Amino acid sequence: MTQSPNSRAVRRLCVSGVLGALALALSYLESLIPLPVPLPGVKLGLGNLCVLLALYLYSWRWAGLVLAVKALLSSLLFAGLGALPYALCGGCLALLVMACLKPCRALSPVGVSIAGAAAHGLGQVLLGAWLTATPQLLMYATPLMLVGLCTGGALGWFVLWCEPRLRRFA
Amino acid sequence: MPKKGDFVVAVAVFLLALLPLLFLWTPKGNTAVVRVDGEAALRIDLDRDGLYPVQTPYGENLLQVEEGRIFVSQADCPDGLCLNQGAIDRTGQSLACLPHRLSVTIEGEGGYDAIAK
Repeated sequence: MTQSPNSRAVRRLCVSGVLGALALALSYLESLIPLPVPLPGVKLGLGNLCVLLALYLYSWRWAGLVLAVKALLSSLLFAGLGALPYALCGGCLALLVMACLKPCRALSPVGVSIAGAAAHGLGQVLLGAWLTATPQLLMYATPLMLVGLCTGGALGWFVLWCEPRLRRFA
Repeated sequence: MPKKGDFVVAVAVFLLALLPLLFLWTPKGNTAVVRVDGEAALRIDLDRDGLYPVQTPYGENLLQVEEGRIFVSQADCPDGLCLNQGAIDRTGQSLACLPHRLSVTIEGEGGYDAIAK
């Protein structure tokens, strides 16, 4: 498909907007699913799917945009503004790690996603330990990172499968 | 298909996640330190049962000591996660209510130094 640079830019903006909206919808969906782990910050991370897709379809800038939309709107609408610093801190650290690992040729989206999910949990725990000045909270890194290992792996697998199929729409 | 590097990442994350467990086992402590916004607000003696209401700028938590263990028995935070964290009694263990910026940490006689040793 040949496209003028202009129409490609419009398309990119549209798809990023759709990914942002999808991320928001997925965050709402996962807020309805109770997890059997009574710890702050333990979630499925479904919204990260869109961030990961934006990272693979476009670049870290667009992924950052999707992340910002998701974090800001989902804390305003569902989680409460108190959750915003945690969402941003975890999300930015995750994006940083994923963007750095993405060019690595030995890694598929699965590994990148796992590393991102682990970084997300770690970012939240670090911020929590810092805000409450309680280094013992770092213990929560264990469950958060183990959950991230599973959910991140599953989401990465999904991206591995659907990213080539989405590429022609991007 | 996933690549070899993915497994390396998975194993690395797994080992990193287990790292804090090395520090998990500690002896029973007898004092709980309550921090609000990172500042120590209250020290609670775990040898006596009792109820301790804690008023933070963000809301209220009710701490309860029973048989040497402490837990959050009531809270008006939006997520209520602190209520489900169970009772703790070993040095270095902690409870957290992030919406209220409240944490409860168990300390032994020597506090942090005892943990470090």
